[in-house]
Amino acid sequence: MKAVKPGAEPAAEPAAGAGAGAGATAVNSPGSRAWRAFFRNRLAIIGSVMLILILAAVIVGPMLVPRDLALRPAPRNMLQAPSSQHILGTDEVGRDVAARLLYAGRVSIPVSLSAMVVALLAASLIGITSGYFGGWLDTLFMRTADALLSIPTIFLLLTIAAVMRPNVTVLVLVIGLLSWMDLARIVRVQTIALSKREQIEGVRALGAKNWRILLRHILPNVQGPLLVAAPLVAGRALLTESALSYLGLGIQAPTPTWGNMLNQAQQFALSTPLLAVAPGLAIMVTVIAIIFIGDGLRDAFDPRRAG
Amino acid sequence: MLIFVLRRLLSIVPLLFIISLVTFILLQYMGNPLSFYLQGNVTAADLERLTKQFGLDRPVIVRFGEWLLNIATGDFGASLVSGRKVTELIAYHFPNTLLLMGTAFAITIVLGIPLGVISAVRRNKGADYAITTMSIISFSAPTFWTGILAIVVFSLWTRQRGLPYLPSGGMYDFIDGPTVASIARHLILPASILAFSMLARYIRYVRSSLIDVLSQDYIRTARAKGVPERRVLYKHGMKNSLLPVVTIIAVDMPQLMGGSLITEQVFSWPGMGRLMVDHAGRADFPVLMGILVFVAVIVTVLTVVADVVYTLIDPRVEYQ
Repeated sequence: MKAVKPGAEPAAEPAAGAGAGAGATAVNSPGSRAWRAFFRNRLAIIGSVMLILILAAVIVGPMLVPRDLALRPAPRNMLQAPSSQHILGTDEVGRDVAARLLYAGRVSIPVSLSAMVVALLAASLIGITSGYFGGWLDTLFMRTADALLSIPTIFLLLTIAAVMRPNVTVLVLVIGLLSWMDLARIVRVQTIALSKREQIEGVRALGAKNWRILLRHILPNVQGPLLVAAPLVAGRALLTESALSYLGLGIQAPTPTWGNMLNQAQQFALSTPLLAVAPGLAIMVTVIAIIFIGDGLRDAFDPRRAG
Repeated sequence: MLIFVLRRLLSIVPLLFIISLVTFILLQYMGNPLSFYLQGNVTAADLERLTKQFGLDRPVIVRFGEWLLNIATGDFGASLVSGRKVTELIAYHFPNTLLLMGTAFAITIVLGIPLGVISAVRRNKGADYAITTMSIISFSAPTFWTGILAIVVFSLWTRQRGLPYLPSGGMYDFIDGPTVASIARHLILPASILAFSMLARYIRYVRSSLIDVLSQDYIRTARAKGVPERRVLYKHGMKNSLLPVVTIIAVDMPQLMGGSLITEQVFSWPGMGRLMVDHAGRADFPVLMGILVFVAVIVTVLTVVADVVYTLIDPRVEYQ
C-alpha cells in the first residue's frame, strides 16, 4: 500500500497541468485535448480509488469475518448458491466464497507488492552498478538479464517451485528476482547518460566517493522510470503468483490465494459458476486498477507520451 | 547478415551455461531427486542402490560437467519417473505446442492488426473505446481464468442445453483417433484463449504506431496532393506502421510460450507446458533441465528469425 499510494496521488495533478498546457498549442481543438486529459486523469483516479477499496477490503475484511468461515470445511453447506448467509455461495467443501476471497486477497496482494519492491531494488542496484562501473560487471549482469529474458518466467518458476515447495517468502523473492531485467536495462542506460554529464564530473572532481555519487546524484535521477514501471511490475507479479498457485505449485492449499481458489473450481463451474467467476474477477479488477494508476503515472512523468 | 545470425545463435551458449549451472546447483541442493521413489516400502538399502544407479553419489561438479558434455552431443538423459529418454518426450510434446502457438499467433495477427487499425483511425470514438476496453480485459484477465470460463460456456453449458459444443480438453477424441478434423475441433478453444491473452499488446502497438505515422509530414503531403483517404491509409500509412510490429513479435516469443504452458494445463493439451508441469510436481530433474535448455534455444532461434524477417521486409534496417 505504501509503495503505490504516494505515487498515485501526485499523478492526477501534473497530468491535468500538462493537458491544459498542451491544449493551447495543440493542432486539434483545445476542448477535445482538455477532455482527453480529463479522461486520462479520471482513469488514474478511478484506478487509485479501486485499489484503495480493494486494499481496505482485504485488510479490514478478515478482521470482521471469522476465520473458520473461510478455512474450515463444512460439508453440510457445500456448493450452495448465493444466499443472505453466504453472499457468494460456498465451495465444494462448504467454505464461504466471499470470506475466502478476502483472506486470499490478504495473501495475494502483499505477495505481489513485496515482489514489486524486490524487483525495483534489484533493478536499481543492478542497473546503477552496471551503468556506472561498466566493464566485466556490466557484461555479467547484462548477459544474465539476456539469459533470464530468453526463457519464459513461468518455466523458470516451475523449475524452482519443483525443487523447493515455495512458502510466501520464497515466492516473493523468486518472483521479484525474475522481474528486474527490463527495468535494470532502462536504469543502466539512464545511469550511463548521467555519469557522462559535467555535473557528475564536477562532483567527482570535488573528491566525492563512488558510493556517494551513486546514492546522492545518480539514484535520485533514475527514480522516474522506476516509479512509472512499478505498477506494471506489481500487476505482472500478481498474475504470475496466481498462475503458479493455480498450477498447484505456488502457495499451497490450506492458505487461500485467488489463484489456488480456481484450482478446483473448474469441476464445479457449471453448477456453481460464481466459484469460478469470483476469484478471477478479483484478480482482473485488481490488475486493471493497477494499470490505470500506471498509465496515469506514465502520462504525468513522461511528457512525450502526453499527446 | 550470416555473421549476424551466427553471432546471435552463438550468444545463447554462455546464456545456457549460466542457466544450467544455476538450476543444476539449485536442483542438487534443494530437492531430493529420488523423492519420487520415497513411497511404499522402500528401504535404506534400496535408496542407496538407486543413488548409485543414477550416479547421484558423485560430486556435483563432476556430474555437471558430464551433463554439459552429454547435452553437447544431444543426449539429455532419461526421466527419473518413467525412464523414457528426454529427447523422446520433447520430440513427442513439442510439435503439439508449436501447433497451439502457431494457431494462436495466426489468430492474434489476423484480429490484432485490423482492430488496431480501426482503433487508430476511429481514435477517441465509440469503436476505439470498445476495442481499448477489450484490450484492457485481455491484458488483465489471467489466461487460466478466461480458459475456465470458455470451457464452462462453450463446452459444458452448450452441451447441457443440447447445443453444438466444443470439446473441453485433450487433443483428439479417442474414438476418432488423431484425425485433422478432430484435432482442429479441439484446437479452437485453447488457441482462441491463448490468442486473446496476446491480443492486447498487438492492438495497442498497431494503434500507437499507426497514429504516429499518420501524423507525419509525408502523410500530410499525400493528403495535400489529393490522394484519396483510403489510399493514404492503406498504401502510405499501413506499410510503414506495420513494420515495427515484427519487432514485438520477437520480443513476445517467451511470453507466447509461457502463455501456452498455462493454456495447455487448462485444456489438457499434451504439449511441452503440460510435460513441464507434470514433471515439476515430481522434481524430475533431467526432464526439467532438458525442457529449459530446449525452450531457451527455441526462443532464441525464433527471435533471430523474426530479426532476419525484419531486415528482409525493411531494407533500411541493417545488422552488423
